[in-house]
Amino acid sequence: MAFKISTTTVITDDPAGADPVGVVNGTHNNFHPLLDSPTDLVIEFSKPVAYKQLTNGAFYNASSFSFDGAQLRDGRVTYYLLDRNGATIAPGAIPVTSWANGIEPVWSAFNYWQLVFTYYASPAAIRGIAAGFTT
Amino acid sequence: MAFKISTTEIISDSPQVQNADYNNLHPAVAAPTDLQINFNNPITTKTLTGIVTGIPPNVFTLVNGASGKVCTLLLTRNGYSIPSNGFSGITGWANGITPTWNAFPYWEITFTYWPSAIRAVAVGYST
Repeated sequence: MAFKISTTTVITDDPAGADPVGVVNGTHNNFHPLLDSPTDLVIEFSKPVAYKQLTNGAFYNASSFSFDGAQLRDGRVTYYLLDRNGATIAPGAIPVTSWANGIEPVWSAFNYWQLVFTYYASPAAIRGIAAGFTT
Repeated sequence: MAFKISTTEIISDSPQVQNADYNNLHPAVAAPTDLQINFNNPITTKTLTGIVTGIPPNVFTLVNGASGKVCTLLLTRNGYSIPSNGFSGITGWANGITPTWNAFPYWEITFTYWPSAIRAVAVGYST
């Protein structure tokens, strides 16, 4: 059952069997993403923002990070707040299709990274933007 | 009382919106008269009417931060200068460099509240 304010539909029903089931319309204020703190290195597009602190001194190679393939939907965006914590991240450790400006960040250049991932359905791609921070 | 579609909870009592896409859903815009940026306001617009000295209360400050919150300031410098310490409480700026505020008249600044830190990304525009 849709939720309306007067005659304006604020939450519509998606077709039966759709995932997720609702569509929210309107204006938002004091409305925030829930911060996820995963224990693994799986990046989930169903989580709006995640914070991950790596293990000091550890090495993360090309198979360390992954995206949850069941959560890929066209247009989805997720934020990943990464505290490198002195760990080493190898090139290609985060398996995106491409990085902004065609250049993978040099992970050792900064200790804190704010990553934004966007999923494109056709052709399938995950593209990432990274901003590094010293402090 | 939670709102459900069939048996799926869309708005929990927390309240938390979940199990939903969004469409035609936009941030409300705040336009404060002071230099306080509230994380509870997703977008804040500010056109300066005087210089920012970096000395309270003439300095940008952020309130109501909590882990995972994000807010954006759309700043029109309007010819007034902002010193390097014009924003208080920022842990770090992107690329480790505090923007040179006087280099551009328009700035789009996004603040993200990390666990125990506020980090910010600023993009300047000429026009």
